[in-house]
This record gives sequence, structure tokens and C-alpha cells, in this order.
Amino acid sequence: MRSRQAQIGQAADELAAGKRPRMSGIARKEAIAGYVAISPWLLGFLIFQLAPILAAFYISSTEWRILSAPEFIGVRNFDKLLFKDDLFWQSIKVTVIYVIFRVPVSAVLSLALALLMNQQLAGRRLFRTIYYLPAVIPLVAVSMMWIWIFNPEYGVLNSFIRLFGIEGPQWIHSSRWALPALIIMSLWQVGTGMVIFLAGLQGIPAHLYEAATIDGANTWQRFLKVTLPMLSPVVLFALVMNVIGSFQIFTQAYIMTAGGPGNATLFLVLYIYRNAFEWFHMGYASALAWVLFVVVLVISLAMLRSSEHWVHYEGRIGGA
Amino acid sequence: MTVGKLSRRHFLQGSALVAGGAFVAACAPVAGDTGAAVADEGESMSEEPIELVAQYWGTRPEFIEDREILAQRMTEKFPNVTASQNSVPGGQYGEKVLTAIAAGTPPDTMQLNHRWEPFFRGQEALLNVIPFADADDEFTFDVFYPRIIELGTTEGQLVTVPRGWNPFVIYYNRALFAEAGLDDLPTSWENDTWNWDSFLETAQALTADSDGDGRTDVYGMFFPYWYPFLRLGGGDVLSDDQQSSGLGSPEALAALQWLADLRLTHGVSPTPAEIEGLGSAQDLFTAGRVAMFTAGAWGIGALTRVEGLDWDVGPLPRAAGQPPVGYTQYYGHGIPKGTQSADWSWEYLKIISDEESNITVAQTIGDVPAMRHIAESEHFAGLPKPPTRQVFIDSAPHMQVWPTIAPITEIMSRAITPELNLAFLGEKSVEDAVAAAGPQVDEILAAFWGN
Repeated sequence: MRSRQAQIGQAADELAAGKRPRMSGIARKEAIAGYVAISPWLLGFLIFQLAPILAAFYISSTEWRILSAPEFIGVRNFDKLLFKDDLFWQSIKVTVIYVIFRVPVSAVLSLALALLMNQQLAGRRLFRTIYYLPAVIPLVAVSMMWIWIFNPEYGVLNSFIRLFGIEGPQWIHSSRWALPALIIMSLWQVGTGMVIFLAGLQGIPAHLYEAATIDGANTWQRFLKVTLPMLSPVVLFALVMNVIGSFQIFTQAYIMTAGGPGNATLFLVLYIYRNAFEWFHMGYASALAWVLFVVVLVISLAMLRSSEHWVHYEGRIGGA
Repeated sequence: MTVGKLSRRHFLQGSALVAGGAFVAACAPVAGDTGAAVADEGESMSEEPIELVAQYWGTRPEFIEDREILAQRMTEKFPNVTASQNSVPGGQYGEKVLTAIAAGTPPDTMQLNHRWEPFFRGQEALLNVIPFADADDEFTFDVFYPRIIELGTTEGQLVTVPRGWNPFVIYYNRALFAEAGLDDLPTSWENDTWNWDSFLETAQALTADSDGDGRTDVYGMFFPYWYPFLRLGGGDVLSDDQQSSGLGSPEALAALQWLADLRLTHGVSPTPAEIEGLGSAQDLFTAGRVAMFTAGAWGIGALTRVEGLDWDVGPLPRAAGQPPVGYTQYYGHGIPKGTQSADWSWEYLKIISDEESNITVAQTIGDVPAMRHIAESEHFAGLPKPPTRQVFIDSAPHMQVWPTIAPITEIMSRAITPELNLAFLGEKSVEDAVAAAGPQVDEILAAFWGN
């Protein structure tokens, strides 16, 4: 067998000549073993994710009511949703408002909670569990509970507001308040973000804080100059996941408001669901789903691209 | 051992082939589109073992038990048949059955009602049952309420053999009526003194703030359904030619405004928030918080089980200048296209719709049987509660049903309900709500009719 050095040398020569390096027998076997090892995931992804995604793309160019064969109609579904369907734009508006308010507020609250839970407080494990608990309760059960919290007549929220002599709003029974209600409700689940931030906080080396303290940095300066930069990769991850999750809001609106009153909470995924499984316009629903996919993809890419300017990875020269 | 060169590119290409195959499979033309329009004349009823499945929605224990009995009766009549039921929760019915039909494995019979009959008929997924009936000496449509058969027949085709129907009536709390010094409701649908004016007066007399805290404790009435009142008022959601919205007609606008006023102006009906806090219409009624409510005959079963509740039923009130309207929802069973044997499906369907089965509808399920002589017998009319059961049966000559056009669910849930909900909440005028819904209705109809 040739020496490792010779192999590397040959590979370098081939690369220089613009050729792909040839694999040795061992490397090939290793490659096969690697692919076999990942094949359960890979096949699952290809068959159950990629294929349906591609199928949905084809279906989006058809009129398909399930029982009859799909009828190819080109880009008519996209033409309809972009230029003729007010409900599509209503669903986009509602979803974007939800994302715009929910993502930053929940990020700030999650971070604040994580900072608090990172302190040496008595019973902090208990508090961490309590704050995280809403994230593991099924959303259907949570929604049923919030229906009661928001009930204008008998709910705990308006009963509390009434203590101050103010009559609370109609919440999910008002087209003006239903969306704010669902945004407020979503903040109840900041525990997920808190856990992620907490893990990030605990990964920040203590010596950085010590150095900053020696240099005379106060608490706020340590937060700004050490904590935030060191946490920025985690912030990026949390934001991207939160944006994607927020665009996919469905269960609360389906159970609590059915998209109402008057389409005030007709989120895009709910609208997709209705087109697919209430009205059985599979082609149109697929077109809507692809729009959601593209919107989420573009925003995620934009966030990742922007991260070059504000995310700091430890050990990288220049901090960028 | 020779191992061929396996580059990442080749591996991914191979994998893409797998995905491509799955993609092609997903896009392949669906089965189930091909079922014969009528039963195969040459098909014979063999003695070969056969398994039949009847498709239902709803999973309440009494439903499941009823269906098990029907399956057993099928096997008793035909020992070579193994019959069973497939019951799914109501909300999943459409997608489950559609998927089964599309996959080429439709059920042998399937339950249908005002919602699903138009949809599946619109998909051309159901067989016309008239040829089966004509060829069968054991069966006649004459035993059913003729109006149900008439309303269910479209372009000479009937896809549902009816089993039961649910006439809408006014359920009322007799004790609360007595407390308010009111007489029992009349029992005749033709009685024009029981009209929208007297109905409102009755509701106002019943509405009360018993403890004087400024909040209403008893509401005169609750209308979970607005459509029956639209019909009572002479309006409908579609124009007569079904080409456009009918909500803009003076009759429809007046009826919807009258309904909105019940809650917003007269305060005789609870708000959605109050209803949510207190439970369903039936819960509110049982708790004595609502004195009258509208529902189909399904209310009988639950209310009969409530001990100490003194209740009865009356006809829907007539609108000025309008004939009586007995709004009803009927249900039954049909045969999907592409079943393994349409003749065997027909045999199963006959048992599901026969006399014994109609008696179960009357006595166990609590709806009005579709067979007239069973409805008018001791099995339904002769039962003690409520005392004036005849009101349900007497609605038959005035029977009207939910629109039968295929996209009616989309018209209602996409175009009309969101707008009318705003009107009933007082956030929008009825005129504005109707004006906003109209173009959406027209658009759905235009797509449906291919304009």
C-alpha cells in the first residue's frame, strides 16, 4: 500500500490538474459505510420530504380536486393568488404582523429569562422547569386553556383588568383584538427560547468576564461587550427557528378562532389547510404552500446573510 | 471483491432517482375515477366470501353499536358476507373518504348528508341508486317521505338512500314560559300568529336579569344557525338560477338584519363570548340560561336524558308574508363509484336503510326516521317526550334543505360566514357584510360553472 503522504501528494497533483482525486479502496469502503449509515435519514428525506415537495410543486401548476386527474393549468394558481385573491393577501398580512411582533418580543423575553435563570438563585432549577413547561404541553390543550383565559365575560384576564375599573376587550371575539390575543398567547411559550439562550450563556468562558471586570467594565458593559457578542450565534439560531416557526402558526388559530372573526386571524397555513382539506383545491393549496416555502427561505437566507455583520464566532480573527 | 467507484455525485444521483420515483408515484393519475356509472348488469351475486365496509362519521358509542348491529344483520342475511363499519371523527370524513376513493379502495357504502352529498356528487364519486331500486322487487322509495326523495334528486339522479332527517324546531323551556306568564307555543306550522313579531315578543318576555346586577341571566332565545331564518324570511344564499349571491335580495337583507337585531338591538340572544363561557346551546338551555333555541331533532336525545327539565318543541315562526318553512337536514347512505361490487353494496345499503334500521333511528339515535310510516308510528310519534313530537313530523310538507350545489361548503365557510359573523358581532352593518360576501360568492360560482 502506498504511504499516506504519497496518496495526499497524488491527490494534490490531480487537484492541480483539475481532476477529481481517485479514491483508494479503503476510502471508497469508508464512503460506502458512511452513506449506508446515513441512508435511513437520506431515504426518509428523499421519499417523505423531497418527493412530496417536488410533487407539490407539480401539483401547484394543476387544478386538482383529488378524485379527477390533475389538470395542468400552468401558472394560473400563482396568478390567482398574487393578483386576484384578497384572502391570500389577508393571510399574508396577518401572518407577517404576527411574525413582526412575536419574534422580537419573544426573543427579548427569552433572553431576559435566560439571564435571570443563569443567576445563582434559590430554586432556579424549579423555575427553569416551570418556565419550560408550556413548551412541552400539547398546543391543543394550551389553546383550550387560553380560550378560557381570553373569555371576555368569565376569563381571568378580563377579570384582572376589571379590578382596575377597566372593561377589557373582547379578545378572540373581536376582529381588532383576536390577532393581538394570539400574539400575547404565543409569548407564554418563551421557555423554548430560554433553554437555548441558557445553554449559550453557560458556554461563555468565565475568563472573559474576569478580564472585562479587571478592565473596569460594569455589568451593563459586560453584557454588551461580552455576553451579547458571545451569544450572537445562538441568537441567530433562535431567531431563524423562531421566524420559521412563527410563519407556520396554525393550531391556535384553527382551534381558538377558526381564522376569525372575519378572517382577522386567517394565517397562511390555516388558509392552505382550508384550501386543501375543506374546499379540496389541492393545486391552489400547493401553490400557497410553495409561496410560504419561498417566503420563509428568502427571509432565512437574508437573516443568515446579514449575520456576517452581527454574529461573532469565538476564535475567528476580527471577530466577524 | 470488486467495489465499483462510488462518488458522492453518483450516490446523490441514485438517491435523486429514488426521490424522482416517489415523485412520479405521487403525481401518477389517481385511481377511483373510473367507477361504473351504474351497476354492471352482468354482475352476479356470487356465494364467494366477500368483505364489505360501511363508512360513517361520528364515533359516539350509540352510533358504533347501531352500526355493529347493521353489520351483523348483513352477515346473518348473507352468510358469505363479512360486514364491518369504518367510523371516523366527523371533521376528518371528507379527507379520509376522498383518500380511500382516490387510492382505489373506496368503502362499499358511505354516509351522506347535506354537506357531503353535494360535495361527493360534485366530484362524480357516487352511483345513482335509482337503477338499483328499479331492479329490486324488495325495495321501494314510496315508503320514504316523498319530499326527501324529491329534494335529493338532481337531473334524474339520486345518490342517497335516506335514513333519517332532522327538522329544525324551537325547543323551549316550559317552566321559564310559565314563570314569564306565557302560554305554550302553538303546534301548527301553518299558524300565522306564531310569527317573527310574536317570537320576538316572547323572547323579550323571557329575557331577564334575575339578580339585578345589570347582566342578563336568562336569554329569550339563541340561534346557533342563521340559515333557517334566512329561508323563513324568504331569502337564500344563492340566486334562483344559482349563478350569483342571493344575499342582496330585500328578503335576505331583512332576515339577516332581523337576526342581528335580536342580539345587538333587543339583547334577547347571548353573544358568542357568553355562549363560549357557558357551553353549547343545549348546555345553556339545560342550565335554564336560554329559554328557546333552534336545533334539529338531534336535541331530543340529549334533552330527554335530563331529569327534571320541563321542555317541549314548537314550529319555527313564520315571517310576515312568507309561507311556513320546515328547514331540515336529511342524511342517508350512498354507494361510491369503484366499489368491489356495487350489487353487494346495494344489499348492504338496503339493510342500513330498512325498517328495522329506521326504528333504531327513532328510538336510539333520536332523529326522525326517513320512512314515513315508522316516523308516524309508536316508534317515533308515539314516544312520550317531548309531548308534541308531532311538530317534527308536521314540518314535512314545508320541507326545505341546505343548498345542494357542489361548492356550497366553500361558499359558506370562505365567502359568507366570516362576513356575517362580523355583522352578528356588530362590527359591520349587514349591508356591508353582504356587499363584501357577494363578490366572493360570485367568484366561487363563476369558477364552478366555468364562466
